[in-house]
Amino acid sequence: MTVLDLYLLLGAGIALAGLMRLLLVSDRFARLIAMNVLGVGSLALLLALAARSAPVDPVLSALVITGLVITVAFTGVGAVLIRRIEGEERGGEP
Amino acid sequence: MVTDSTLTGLLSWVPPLVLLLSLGAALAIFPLREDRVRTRTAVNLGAAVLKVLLVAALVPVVIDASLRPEFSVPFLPGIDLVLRVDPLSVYFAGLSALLWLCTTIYAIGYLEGSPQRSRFFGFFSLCVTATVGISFAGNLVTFLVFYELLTLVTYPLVAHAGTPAALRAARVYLRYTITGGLALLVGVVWLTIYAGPVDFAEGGAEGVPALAAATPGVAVVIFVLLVGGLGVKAALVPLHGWLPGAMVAPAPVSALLHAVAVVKAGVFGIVRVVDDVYGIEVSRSLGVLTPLLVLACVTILFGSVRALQETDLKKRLAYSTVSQVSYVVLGVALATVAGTAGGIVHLVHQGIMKITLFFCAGLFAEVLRAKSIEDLRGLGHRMPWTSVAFTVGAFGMIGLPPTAGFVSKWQLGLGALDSEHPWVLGVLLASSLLNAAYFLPVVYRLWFRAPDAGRSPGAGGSPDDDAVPRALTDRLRVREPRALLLPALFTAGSVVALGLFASFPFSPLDVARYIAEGVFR
Amino acid sequence: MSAAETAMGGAVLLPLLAAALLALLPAARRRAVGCGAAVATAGLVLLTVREVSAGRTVEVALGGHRAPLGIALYADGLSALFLAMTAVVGLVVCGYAALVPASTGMRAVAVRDRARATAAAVGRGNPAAGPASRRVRRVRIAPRVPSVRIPEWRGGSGVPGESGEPGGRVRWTASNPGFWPLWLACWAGLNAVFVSGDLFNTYVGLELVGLSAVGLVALGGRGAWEAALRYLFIAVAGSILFLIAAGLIVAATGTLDLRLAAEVVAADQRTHGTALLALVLLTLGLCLKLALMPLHAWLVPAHAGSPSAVSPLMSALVIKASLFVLLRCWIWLVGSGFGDTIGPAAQVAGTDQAAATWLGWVLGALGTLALLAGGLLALRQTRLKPLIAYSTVAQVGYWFLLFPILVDPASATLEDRAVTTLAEASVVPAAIGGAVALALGHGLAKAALFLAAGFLKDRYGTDEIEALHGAGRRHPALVMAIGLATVGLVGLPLSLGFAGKWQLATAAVASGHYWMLAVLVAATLLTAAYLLKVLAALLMDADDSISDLVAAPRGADGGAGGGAGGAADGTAGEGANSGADDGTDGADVATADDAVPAAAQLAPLALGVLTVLTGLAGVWTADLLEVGAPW
Repeated sequence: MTVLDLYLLLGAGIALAGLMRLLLVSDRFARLIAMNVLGVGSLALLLALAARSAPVDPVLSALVITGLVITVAFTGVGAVLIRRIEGEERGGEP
Repeated sequence: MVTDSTLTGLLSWVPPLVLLLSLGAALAIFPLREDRVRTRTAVNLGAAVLKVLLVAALVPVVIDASLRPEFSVPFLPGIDLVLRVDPLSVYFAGLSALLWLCTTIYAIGYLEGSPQRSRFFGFFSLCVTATVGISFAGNLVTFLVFYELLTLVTYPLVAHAGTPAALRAARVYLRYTITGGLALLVGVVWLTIYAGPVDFAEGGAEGVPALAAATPGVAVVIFVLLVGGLGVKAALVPLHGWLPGAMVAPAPVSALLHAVAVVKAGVFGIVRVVDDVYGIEVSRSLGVLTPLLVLACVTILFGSVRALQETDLKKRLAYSTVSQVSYVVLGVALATVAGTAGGIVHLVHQGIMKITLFFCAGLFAEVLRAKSIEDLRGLGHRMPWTSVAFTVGAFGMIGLPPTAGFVSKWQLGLGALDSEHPWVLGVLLASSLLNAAYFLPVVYRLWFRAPDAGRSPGAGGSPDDDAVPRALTDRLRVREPRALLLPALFTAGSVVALGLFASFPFSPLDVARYIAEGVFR
Repeated sequence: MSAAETAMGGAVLLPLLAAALLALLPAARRRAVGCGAAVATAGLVLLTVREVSAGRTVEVALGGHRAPLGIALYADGLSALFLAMTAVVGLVVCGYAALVPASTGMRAVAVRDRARATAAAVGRGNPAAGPASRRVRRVRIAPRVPSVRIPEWRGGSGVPGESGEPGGRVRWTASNPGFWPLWLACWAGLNAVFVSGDLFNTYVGLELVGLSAVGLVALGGRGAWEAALRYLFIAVAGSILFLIAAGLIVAATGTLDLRLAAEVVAADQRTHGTALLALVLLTLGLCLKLALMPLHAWLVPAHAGSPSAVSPLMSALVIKASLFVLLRCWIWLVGSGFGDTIGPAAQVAGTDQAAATWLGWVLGALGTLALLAGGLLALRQTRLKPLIAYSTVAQVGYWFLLFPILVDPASATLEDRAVTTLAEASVVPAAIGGAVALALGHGLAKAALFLAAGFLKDRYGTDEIEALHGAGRRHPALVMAIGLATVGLVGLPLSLGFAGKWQLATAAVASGHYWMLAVLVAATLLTAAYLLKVLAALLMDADDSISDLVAAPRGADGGAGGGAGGAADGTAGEGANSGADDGTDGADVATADDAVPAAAQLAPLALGVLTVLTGLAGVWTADLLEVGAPW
């Protein structure tokens, strides 16, 4: 088992944990964090795959960077929505 | 000098033209405002008359056996939408066009002042479009398309009144017909996979004999699916449940459903399947004709017995339709030339007779609110012309000479004697007796009972309906609206004329014999 | 670059640029610019489709940069069909949104003057008297949303009222100009997915669609936020699974291009395991985004809670992006149905074959479940928009019936097959053609249905079916539209739905999957049942139900339900767009008639007519699919 395989498993494990929590938990912020964990896990997995070739595979690196940006964007939108919903719940502040 | 091919080319445009004419009329009528009576009447009548003329132009096809104009357009991968003109299609289209004209005149008079007339007449025209499509369909897929279309456009007609009862009846109607349509679809898909696009051909479509020879089991299952799907509209027992409920629709709709459009389409489809898809030989060898014959006989007797039990006039007529329409199926299932001719000619004769009866029922209901058999007491004196028309229709149904009904029953009897099932003659006789049993009392009541003086126009027996001036109630004779009466008298006259002149060339009997011979060629 | 290539690239870039531009424009200008951009995009799509229908696939590498890092665009028959449907539906919905600004969502407008607001609220107890009475028939006080509970989609999405304390600081009005940039960004994303040439672009396109769709759903007001959030989580989860799958494919085959990857997989046995894992992951992710049962729970609140102009876009178009990607991946990667002679096919063998077959059957079973359970759930709904949303959940099942045929095109038949007219090699293409035709027909019909439901909701403030009894009398064109859409969804002739069902049924019989016929029959009956429920309710003519049905007072958009600030933006639909802060007392309370003009019914009617007219296009659709197909 090489180091890369370990990272592969680690990435998969983190992603799976994040996915499970995302689908099963009900607290909104917890889900948002779980979504990020899922993202991080998947990116780790991709990087481990990328590191298999001698110069790190540029295509997979590009995928990782894109994934990062998109996760950030979604996290932002999600945070705004959660803030609004919980503001509603508390009563009054938009 | 017009050559055959030029003529064929020209004539092949007639079916799509007739279709587009009705479709155009519908599209023109839908957006019309309610008060544009004249425009709507003009469009309706104009389209109906033009249709009759166009169909008449197709008569040369019937004469010359080599003319079979066809119009096709690609529809599904490997399958075209085909409109073909052959004697049977001209026959059915002719019936539809003529009776349409009558029903249009009747409906215009009947619905005067009712709400939603534009919607009604719009769907009415779409109904014609679908029926014309069914008659000219040249293969099973085209037939299926227009058959389903017919289901769709008759739903709003049945539900026209918008009352909970009407909507319920319409829902039941749709449930039955959509299920039937699905059975038909499955059968058509299956048959198409095995036999290619099933083009109607006199004597059977190509590919079907091979299927029947290779896997007779599959062929029988497909036959059952097809006839079952068609049998819903054709009101074969036990699939007839929607028909009595649909009587809640206005009288022109009932007339349409029973005489021209829906029930006839189902039966027409069965004729096509037995004669032009499977062909008589294949059907006989598969052994499906005898069960079909038995089913038809059961339906005939069941319908008549149930009709005896009904006291509502329209319901009685509904069960009478259930019974009478199966004569066509009976004729076709006898598998003899005379039998097939009898069945096909009964398509026209039953249509004309039934429409007469429904016109009269509508007149009785409209003018004197007479809805049940009891209410018809003595109306022979109060509405004589209507009663004459009703009597003629009733005699035709029973099969008394010289009406058209007698001609078709005679022909069917000949066919029964020719065939392997002479016992069918017994069924025919029993049915005639039953018809007499439920029609003659009505006729008797009309003419030989004293009229109920308390019944006045517009009065349903309740003291609240007092809109009519007193003067009228003093007179026994009541005014029979001309727009409603003339179509009834015309069709009643046709019943007698078709009976008297049945042996003339180009009479329905003549054409039917010609078609039947083509089937057995 | 030829005209078609430019058009293809433009179809992605133009809406994107327009979206950016619209985000900068003031609200009043957005409608015009948005519609202009929509027309231009549709024109570019038309050019692309014309090129493809002439038999040539269109390929271009943007900027000349080749794969693997460049952006390659590729349009084949499948792309052209989905591009066309998106353009048609998008254009009609743009027209509707332009005519009925109230349908674009809710937005919060701050109210400054608390005292005046309270006074106005008191004075507005009964606006039936006074100058407004000429236009207001009867005010029905909209149910007030309690401010401590999040209104679930069941309770009343986007119901206007106030938030917070009486005379509060925010008022909700209809019409959200954010619709335009979000929708055009979504359209750009959809086009990007449909013309993407490799998995990377597909991923980016899917994300763009997801992000803008979440925004579009959230436009629906407070009732829709929770649903939008849930959709967000699901969308991201699905996309990340897809990303992992894409990464696996690249790691195994060394290329992002799906066609090339398929060739590598076909040639090299060792890549099969990874390819299969990737297939499973991307299927799972895309099924999440397609709301295949049992992963469907997010769809109904999201689609039902969206504003009137957004629901059709969601059900008809956004879902199709995921379907498109799923079809593309399966058609190219799982080639065992095609045989050796046709195109690059993944010759999965041994245990991998079993796994792929098993996966296909699972999808087919879930599709059947969706059809039956979704139909039954739709039947139980009492509100119009959730019913239509459940209908979407059900109809998704139709498309998944393709998969058992794809993996098992020659299953054991019940009896000896006689000569069939469907050649062995054309069973799978027929099945795919059927699923695609069903999806296209569904897009047109579902959009018509949602537009009609939205019209009724905007007009009368409710989508309870019971409350809408007899509405058909006033809106015959709308009922006709719903009727035509019913024809399309039930699959009666003429419609693409019928053509699709025919092809699917044909393929099913020819490949021996007779059970599919029973499923199709049952699904048709269920669809007819719940759509008939809607039609019958609208056609009902009982007199007493008409009196209850009044136009929702325009003031309801401006908060008549709780007494709020002025109704200045209640007087003119256009004025509502200006988003101006207003604390003035409006003189009149306009009825929703002004906000929802009768001409808006043309939109669902047009889509309904198209549903039926495209019924004649069955052959054209099947021919177009052949372009660039692997068989």
